[in-house]
Amino acid sequence: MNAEDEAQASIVAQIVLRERQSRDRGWWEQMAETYWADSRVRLSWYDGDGPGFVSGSRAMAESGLATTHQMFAPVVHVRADKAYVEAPTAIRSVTVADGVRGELVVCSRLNYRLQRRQGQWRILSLDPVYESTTLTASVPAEQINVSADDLAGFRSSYAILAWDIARRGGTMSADLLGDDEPTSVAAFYSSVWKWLQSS
Amino acid sequence: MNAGDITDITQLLLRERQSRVRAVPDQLRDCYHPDATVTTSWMSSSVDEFIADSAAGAGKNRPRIVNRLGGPVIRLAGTRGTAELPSTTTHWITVNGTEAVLSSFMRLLYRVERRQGIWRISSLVAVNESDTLAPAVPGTDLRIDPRELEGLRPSYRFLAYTRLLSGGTISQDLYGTDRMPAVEALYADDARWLREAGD
Repeated sequence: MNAEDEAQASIVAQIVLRERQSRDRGWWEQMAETYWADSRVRLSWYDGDGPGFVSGSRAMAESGLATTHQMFAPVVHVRADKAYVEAPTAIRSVTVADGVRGELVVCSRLNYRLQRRQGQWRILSLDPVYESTTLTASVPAEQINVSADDLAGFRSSYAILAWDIARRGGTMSADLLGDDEPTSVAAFYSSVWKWLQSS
Repeated sequence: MNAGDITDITQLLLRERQSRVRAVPDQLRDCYHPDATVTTSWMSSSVDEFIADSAAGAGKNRPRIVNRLGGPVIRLAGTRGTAELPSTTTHWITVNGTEAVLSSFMRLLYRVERRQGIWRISSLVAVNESDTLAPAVPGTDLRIDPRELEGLRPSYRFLAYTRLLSGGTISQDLYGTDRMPAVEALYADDARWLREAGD
C-alpha cells in the first residue's frame, strides 16, 4: 500500500465495523448507507444484494432473533479505489435445546470487498468463511446433549449452527465457505487478490 | 472522517485498556481529561477515583485478568468523537472452592475530545452484554445451584453471582443489553453530544 492507500485503510475499517454495529443495534438506515445497491452478500440465511440483506436483517431482528457480533481488529488492504477487509468475529446468541438455555457461538472471518465511487467507500460484497461453532449450557450445572449423529449430516465448520437452523425448520446451504473445505477457501482468497490487483 | 484522528483515537482507547489491566496509573491518567467520568461495574466516579483504584491494585496479587479487545467503531464531529469498543474480560477466580473462569462480554462507550491538539477521554461507560462461567479444569464441578441465579440480570449474571458469593456487592441497575431503554438513552445522549460539536 502506498501512503494514500494507507491513509484510507482506517476509514475503510470504520465502514466495515459500522456495518456490523448498526446491524446489531438496529440502526437500519446507517447499515443501508454502508452497502452499494449492486452489492452481493452470501451467508448462513441469505444470498442476494446488500439492500435486501439490510431489510432481511431488520425482519429477523423484529421477529425477536437477536445475535451479538464480537468484532476483532480488521486487516485492511487498499489499492486505489478498491479495498479488501478480513474481520474475525464471534457471533453470540442464545438458543434453547431440550428446555436448557445454551450459548451458541459461531466463529468466522468476515470478508468484505469495498469500492470507492465519487469519493465514497461502500461495501461491494460480504462473504464469511466459517471456522467453528460451539454450544454450551448457560448454567454450569446444566447440560445440553447433542450427539455426533445429530451433527453428522452437517459441515464441520458450521455444524451446530446448521443443526440449530434445521431443527427450527430452516435450511442452511451446505456450500458456504468453511475451513473444512480448504480448496474452495483457497480459490475464494485467490479470486479476491485477483480482483484487488486488477485495474 | 480524518484517517489520522481515527488512528489516534484507536490507539488512545487501546492504551487506556492496556494501562488499566497492567495497572500503570500514570499512563492511565494521561489517557483522560482531568474532568472525565467513569462508570463501570465497580464504580461511577471521577477519573481521579478510578485511577486511585487502579493504583491501589498495582503490584498486588489481584485475581488474574485477561482483556481482549475488538476494533473500535468511531464517529467524529469537529473536536469531539464517540467510540464503541468491544471487550471481553476473563478472570480466574474461585467458586465454591473450585477454580473457575469468568468471561464478561461488554461494550465500552467512550466520549473523546481534542483539547490543545490532543485527543483524550472525557467519559467511559461500560454496557454489559452477557457473561459465562466455567470450571477452569474440565470435569470439575462448581456446585452451582441454578436457583441461586434466579433474579440476577442476564447481562451480567455470573459477575453478580460470583461477586455476591465472595461477600461483595453489585448494583442491579448497571447498563446492560437486557434493559434496552437505558442503553438507547445512552446512545441518544452520545449522538446529541456529538451533534453539538458540529453546530
